Amino acid sequence: MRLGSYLLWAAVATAVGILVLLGYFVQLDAIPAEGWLQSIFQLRLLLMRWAVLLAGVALFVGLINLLAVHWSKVSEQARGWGYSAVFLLAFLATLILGLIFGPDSAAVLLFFNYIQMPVETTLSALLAITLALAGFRLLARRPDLISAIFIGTAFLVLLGSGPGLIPSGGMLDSFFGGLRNWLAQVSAAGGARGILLGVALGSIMTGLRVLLALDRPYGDE
Amino acid sequence: MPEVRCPMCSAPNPETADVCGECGARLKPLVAGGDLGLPHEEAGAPGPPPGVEDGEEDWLARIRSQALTSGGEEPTEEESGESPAPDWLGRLREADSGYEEGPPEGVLPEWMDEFIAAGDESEAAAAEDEGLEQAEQVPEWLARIRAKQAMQKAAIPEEEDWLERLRHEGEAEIPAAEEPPSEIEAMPPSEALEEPLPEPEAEEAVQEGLAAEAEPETLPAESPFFAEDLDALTEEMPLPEVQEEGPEAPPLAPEDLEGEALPHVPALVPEDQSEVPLVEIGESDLEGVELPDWLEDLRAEIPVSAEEPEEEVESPDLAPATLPSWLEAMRPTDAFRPEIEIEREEEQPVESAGPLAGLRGVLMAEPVVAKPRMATAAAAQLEVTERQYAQAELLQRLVDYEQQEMAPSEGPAMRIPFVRWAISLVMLVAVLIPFSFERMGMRGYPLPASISPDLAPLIQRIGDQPVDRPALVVFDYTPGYTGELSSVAGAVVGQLTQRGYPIATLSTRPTGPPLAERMFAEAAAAGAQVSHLGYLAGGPTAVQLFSIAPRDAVLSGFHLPREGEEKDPWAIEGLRQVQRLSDFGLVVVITAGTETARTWAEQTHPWIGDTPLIMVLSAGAEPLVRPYFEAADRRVDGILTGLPSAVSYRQLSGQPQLAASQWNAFGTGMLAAQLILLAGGAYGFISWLIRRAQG
Amino acid sequence: MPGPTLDFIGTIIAALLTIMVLSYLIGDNAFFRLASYLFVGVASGYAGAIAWHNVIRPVLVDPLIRFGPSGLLTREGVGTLLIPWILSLLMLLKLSPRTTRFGGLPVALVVGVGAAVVVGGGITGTLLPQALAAGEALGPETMIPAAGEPIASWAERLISGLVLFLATLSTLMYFRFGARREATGRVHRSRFTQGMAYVGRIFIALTFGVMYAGAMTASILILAERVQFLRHAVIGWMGG
Repeated sequence: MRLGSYLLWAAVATAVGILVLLGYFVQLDAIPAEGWLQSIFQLRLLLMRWAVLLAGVALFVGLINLLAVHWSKVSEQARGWGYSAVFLLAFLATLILGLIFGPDSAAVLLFFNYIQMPVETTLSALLAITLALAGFRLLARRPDLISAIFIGTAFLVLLGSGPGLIPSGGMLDSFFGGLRNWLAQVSAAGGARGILLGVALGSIMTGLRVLLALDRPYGDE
Repeated sequence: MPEVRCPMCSAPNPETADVCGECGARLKPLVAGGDLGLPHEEAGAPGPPPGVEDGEEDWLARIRSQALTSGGEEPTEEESGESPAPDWLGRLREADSGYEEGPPEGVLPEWMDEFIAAGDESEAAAAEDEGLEQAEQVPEWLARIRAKQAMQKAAIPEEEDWLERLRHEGEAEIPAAEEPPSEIEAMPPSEALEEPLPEPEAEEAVQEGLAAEAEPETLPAESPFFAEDLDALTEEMPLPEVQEEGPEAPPLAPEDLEGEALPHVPALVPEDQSEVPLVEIGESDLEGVELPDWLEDLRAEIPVSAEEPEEEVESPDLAPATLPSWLEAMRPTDAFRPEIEIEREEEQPVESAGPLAGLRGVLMAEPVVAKPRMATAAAAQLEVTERQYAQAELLQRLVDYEQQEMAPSEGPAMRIPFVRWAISLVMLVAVLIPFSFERMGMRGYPLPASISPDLAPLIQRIGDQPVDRPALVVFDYTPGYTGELSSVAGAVVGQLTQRGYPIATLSTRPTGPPLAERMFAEAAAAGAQVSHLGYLAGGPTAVQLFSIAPRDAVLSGFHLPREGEEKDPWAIEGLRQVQRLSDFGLVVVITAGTETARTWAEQTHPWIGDTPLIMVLSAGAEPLVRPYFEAADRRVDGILTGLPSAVSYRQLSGQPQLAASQWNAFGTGMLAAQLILLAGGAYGFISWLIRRAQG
Repeated sequence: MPGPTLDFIGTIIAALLTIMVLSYLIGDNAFFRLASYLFVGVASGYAGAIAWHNVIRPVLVDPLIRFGPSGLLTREGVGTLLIPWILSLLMLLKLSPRTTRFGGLPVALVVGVGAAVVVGGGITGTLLPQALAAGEALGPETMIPAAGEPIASWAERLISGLVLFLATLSTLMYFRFGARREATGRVHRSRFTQGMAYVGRIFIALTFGVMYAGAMTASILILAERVQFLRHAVIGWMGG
């Protein structure tokens, strides 16, 4: 049974993947309104709809698992169970209200607007201080050429990105503004292109390994 | 001069030598009945060994004379030549009643006849030179016995063995002692046993005489022949029981072997007997034995020293095997003994069964064979040295330490993060100060003068789109970036609502729909056509599906108007003809992450057609999205990033500006950040210089 | 829109939570953790609610209510209702270790579709256009000045193109880890590759510096907005 199911899942993943992949290389206009090509195209759409639905169900499965973890923590009174209790209270209250009244209801939006938003926004605001602290310490801890280029570029871009040390409207503002644009749109863009190509190559290789059943993230059972 | 090689040590020796100068081995074999090489005055006979004077040849006579002297009598030639009545042999016979073994059958030497005669008559026969010579000859069997006892005594450092000294000492030799007469070999054992044992007094004299004579004349260091003969004697005949001074020990009766008379072998002794005395035949043992004169002379020649250290037996050339300490420790101590310690003769029981019945010093057959041996627990006992004990104790302590509960270690010393506090204070004060600019009478930062060259085409592109086609605005950012993107995207959203586009919002994140609802709340309240398509799960797959068939991807919306029965998100005027992505007039993706921007850029092509794809990005995501914008085959048709660009956009598009406080706070925050980076760079540079100077 | 009272209470709660999170600047403390766990609970619950209402209910529940169980067996219903129900139930079996292996089919389907989407988008959306764009950096439009174009402008365009091309190439070579093994057994890249990789490293540091400055800019704006919110909340609370 184990060997059979493993082969079955691999066959499903490969077959479905090849069908979806072919759609990227077929012109939509070239697909006739009827015929086997249209059927295949419709099947491709159906598969993607199933995938979208299952992604939502997977989100639910993940939430149930999260609930179980914190529930066991509270029931066993493990270390930090008080925080897990707070999590459970907030989670169940939001979920139940959201399931009953909908995520766009006023009650649920209260939770979103007055709890989730301010906390998440403040966490992002802490990033400013964290980044400033990291920039302050970088050269002291790693005094090498790469760190110097990194901090120097960041400083020049900051100078040209808005008000600050350089007052707006002057020659310096124009110079640093142009320098900032050149750094961001030419040299950084070149490096970014290389990074994007590398990332794309890596993603393609990973996807092909899955399609060829070399990697089986769906399990071997 | 021709040389002869010693058969034992291969040392060269003169041809005329009888014994080897190196090891003392005989160079010329003995012939039965022939001359034994003893020193005598016969013409042609080999001279005495070196170191032996002619006057000392008559060593047997000397021993006798000394014995008589010690007994208070002046030694006379006759008397010295006469051997006292050796009743030691007789005692031997008495003690070992069943003793039958003796010298081999055959022709008895003449000196043995003397002994026999002396024993019968209990008078010492007149000793002539020839008789002396013959009397000087030690019975082979006795010599072997003595030698073996000497070897055993050599292992025991407490007592010295005069016979051992005979073997190992000096250069002088007593040829007579080395060469037992060949007649002894043929002598019947019974006849040898008939010889009377020497009297204790005579034995004493013999011992003293031997001791006195030991200096000038000593046996060669190694006398293999002598030792060999002694060994042969020992092998053939058991050791005679040596009685101490005092009344003669009655012969053991068979009834004495019963009960507690256990075999003399210590290995078979029960455990309660912790120590088994070693059997030694030392001088004291010989005190009660009347030795022949020749034997007394031997003893006299050897200096008696009770405290003389035991000479160690020369170890053979081969190095003894040494066991490792751990293996040695595993040797059972009590259950097995590497050496059988032989008790003294008088303590040894008499064998009562078998062919050796009546003999002492033999392995008892019955106790070994018939009686089962009790297994002793001593077999399991190990010998533990001090070092091993210390190591075992250390190991035990380590194990106990591991099992101990460690005290909770104190946490690391609290470090006050001064730098973090200082930078936090600087940043917070920097963004707070602008709110007091008005009160302080300060002007804020002026608006940016330089405008990005990309802004104008963007504004143009958005402005040129027909308003009958809806605009899709994608809110793919987390609520954390609301503070930035609401300000930046507000410029674009403002233009869209200003132009009256039907707007559809969408998000591939669960938090996107409420953010969209917040962004367009005012516009919707103002009457704008806004339809929130809600949340789309699946990431790139959802974007691809939406690009191909938007209506199949979105089945329900978000925050749809409750009025009316139509809850179809596609029900608003502008969205009814939308079948695919290209049916939208404009697609604006508001995102803070490069992954989302890349997903929309990859998946929407070619389904987007000519519809422009505009990216409103967080400032940090711009570098990785710009390559899509600056390619000939563009996937992104416009980029708006950063507050300065948004401010410029508002300026160019004629929209109301942001609050001055927000712009000023942004400015002072940027100033603080620039100063912090500058200070950090200077601090790092100075630190590097100092470290470099210190080497 | 919530009423003024609710809005006021909500604002106070939001301000308190903002201060609790900002207390992390002093050090990790219980208030910060409390605010974090509260946030995660609300965010998870909201995600579940919106996933149900926007994804699961419209596909599985509403059609079943509309068409009834018989709708499962129609030709269209098999593909749009029956099979999605089966797949969803199989996916739910992933929750238990004993039944997790039965959830292999829906996971294999999601993985297969996702992998194909990534591969297809990567090839058609990034690999080909960006490779072409990298080559176009030194194309005829860059190498040849336009008619009447000032030399300075053309030089700037040419230099920019060269830098762009060099940056792309050297960055790609930095990520290339192929090497040769010498006869001595030492493995190393060729000198040209090593040199280009070092240049690529410089351009990567430059790119990350720009990204760092952008992130700093964004976060400063967010911090300013948060401080402004706090100020308004305090003023509003103090003002009643």
